[in-house]
Amino acid sequence: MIELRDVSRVYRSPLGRPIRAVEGFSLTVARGEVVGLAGPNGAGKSTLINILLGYLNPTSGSATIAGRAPREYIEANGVGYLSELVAIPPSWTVRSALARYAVLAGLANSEIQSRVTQLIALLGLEEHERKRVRQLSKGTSQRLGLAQALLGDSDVLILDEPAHGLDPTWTLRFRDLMSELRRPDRAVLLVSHDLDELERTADRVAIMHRGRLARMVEIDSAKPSLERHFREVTVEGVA
Amino acid sequence: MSGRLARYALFQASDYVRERGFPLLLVGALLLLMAIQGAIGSAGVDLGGGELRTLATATVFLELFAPTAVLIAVNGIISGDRKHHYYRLLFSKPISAPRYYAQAFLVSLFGTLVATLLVLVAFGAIVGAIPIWGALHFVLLYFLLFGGVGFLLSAITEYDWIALGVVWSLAWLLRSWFPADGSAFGSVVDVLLPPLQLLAGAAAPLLGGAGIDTHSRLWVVAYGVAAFAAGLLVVRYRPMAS
Repeated sequence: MIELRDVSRVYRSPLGRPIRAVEGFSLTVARGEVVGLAGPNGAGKSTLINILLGYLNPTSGSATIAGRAPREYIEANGVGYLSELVAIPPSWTVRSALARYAVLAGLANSEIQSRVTQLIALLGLEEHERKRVRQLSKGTSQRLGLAQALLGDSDVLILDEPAHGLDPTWTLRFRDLMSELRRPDRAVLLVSHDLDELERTADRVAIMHRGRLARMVEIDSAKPSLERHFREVTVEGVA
Repeated sequence: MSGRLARYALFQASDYVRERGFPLLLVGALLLLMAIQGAIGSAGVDLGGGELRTLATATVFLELFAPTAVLIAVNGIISGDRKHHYYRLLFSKPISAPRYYAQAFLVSLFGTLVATLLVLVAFGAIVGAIPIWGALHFVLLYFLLFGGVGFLLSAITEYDWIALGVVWSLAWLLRSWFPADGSAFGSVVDVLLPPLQLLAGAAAPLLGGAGIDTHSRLWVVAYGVAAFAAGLLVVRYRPMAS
């Protein structure tokens, strides 16, 4: 469903020096699969997500969703996407933001209010629905971001740090929600710094380091090993 | 499932009213005051007076109002979403970015004409009746030209209003330094830069009912539409993230 093939992205510094953000990165996420992406800050995760959403072109290699170029696929089908920083105009209220995104997601007028109400309840936003985005805490903004990602019931979910800023109650609730989001026709890419969260929710985790795929870890819930792998790659420098 | 972009125009219209429409009305009121004071100062008498004085005041007013209105209406129309990263959630939905911004531009055009109409009605009540259609025609031409260029610049740079000011200034300065019939460079400058000079003296004849010649009108519209189309191409092919 999601395929990144030998993707590289080189930026230029103001002096023209090449900066390799991503180098020869390949990854596939099949339908029914939840794949995690972990890596330290600056590993290239955000660049990769931008390429996958068609917001950035790779310098070389290719990114496809269901065999189509990202923008082509997204313009036809949409994806459920939660960005690390939830950027929603601060003057919008929670309910109006969801109603707007619901229109853009293609929901019919008759469905919008019920779907928005359902997601407001699912993400515990009832007491905030009339608040403006500027009045929300980090955790509440994150839940609003997650709610808008789920509006279109997409076959592709790309969640970038979905539990970032959530309080312990909502972190636990989020884990339940993630298991509900898994379904046979859906591909989920979950980007997170939280190795415990990835180990609980993903089938495989790609560890990214210095722009490269350093290691692909198959998750075995009986033998947690992601932290060890992550440490070996990013701290000890073992390939 | 396709996004319902046409339905979203209502939200774009409400954004326009809040973020641009009210400021535009405020600026319109201030300019109206300035225009009235200018008319009083030059005549040395009260507001009562002949139709010619009203038309002269309206001309001054429109020549100040039109560029300011267009600047308010298109400033940040694309660059604002890039700068604040709003594009990230917007364009994860099944919609096309060029269509989204084309629609935003049309909503801005419509909103600006409605705001202009309100300001002109106020002008008519305070100063004296003027030909509304002539005035709207002038603002429409200004929007198509200056707004089209502003749309393109907003697709290219985060500093679109500064860039628009630079283009506007260059269009006047270079044309005065290098007249079109004076040199080959002057001819090139004349073709490349927005033909603002064709609108410079257009307010008076449009208010007077004479209109402007077809060639000038066509060149102004063609230039603005070409800049708008180029802006859409930039939106299509320039990656949103940097």
